Amino acid sequence: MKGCKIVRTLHINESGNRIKNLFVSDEISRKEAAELVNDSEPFSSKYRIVLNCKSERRKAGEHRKLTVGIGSD
Amino acid sequence: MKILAIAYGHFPKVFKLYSRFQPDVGHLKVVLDDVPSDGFDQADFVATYRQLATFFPSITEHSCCEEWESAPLFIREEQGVSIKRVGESADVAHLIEHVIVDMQVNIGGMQRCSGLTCGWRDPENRFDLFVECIDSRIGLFAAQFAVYLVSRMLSKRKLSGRYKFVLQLAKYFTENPEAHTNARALSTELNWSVGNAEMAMSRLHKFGFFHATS
Repeated sequence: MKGCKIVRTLHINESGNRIKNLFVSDEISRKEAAELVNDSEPFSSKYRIVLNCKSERRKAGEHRKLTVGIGSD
Repeated sequence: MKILAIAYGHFPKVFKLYSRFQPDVGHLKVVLDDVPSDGFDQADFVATYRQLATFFPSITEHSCCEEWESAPLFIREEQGVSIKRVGESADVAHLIEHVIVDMQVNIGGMQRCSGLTCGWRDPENRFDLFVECIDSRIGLFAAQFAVYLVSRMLSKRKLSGRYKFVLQLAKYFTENPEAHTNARALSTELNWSVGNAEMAMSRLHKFGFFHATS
């Protein structure tokens, strides 16, 4: 992670939401960083692939059920 | 591989890509560049996954592209691996996204967390990762630490088991915000060696954990 700086810049994106830059590489200007996070281009033309994932904290009940299930076999 | 920018806020357009994001939760957006174009072969992917699972055991319970109409048709599933593979650079970015998501739940204390890996058309090796996040400080740390760990594994370097101290200390500080930040005091408090406490503290500093984001 050499050559990077952490910055705090508040700016307004096109839809009026506040986006806070937390980190910007030394290799790009503030203007480029703003463009990278503002999402002005439609996603359908910007992205070629989209993958998702989800993590959920396991509930105590689910764990107990799993343990009982193994024991009863 | 490098991070170009990390931002935190609300990105309304991402709901068009994934409608199950929680409506009131902010997102971390990580712009990742120069992701290796060849991705992983099957053996490397499984080995990397298994090594990451020793640091992040709950990634074995993640949902990945399930019940999702936009899942690519060429997705591949490996036996006993919760993260699916598509056989290109997206796999590297997607693995990083899973690690960031895992840290939001296990360090950030989120009950659930979802994320998206979006590969640019041009340049093809640039990715936007959108991850639900309730604490931008944890997000800043998680993104940088995840990229660091996966970059090390891509260069065929085995991860030191000592990195578990970094994760444990991040969690400790999240749960005990008033705790000492002096390595010697921490080593006594946590019953660690001073060396491990110093190493964990230096990594937390390096990856932005103590950066004031408010």
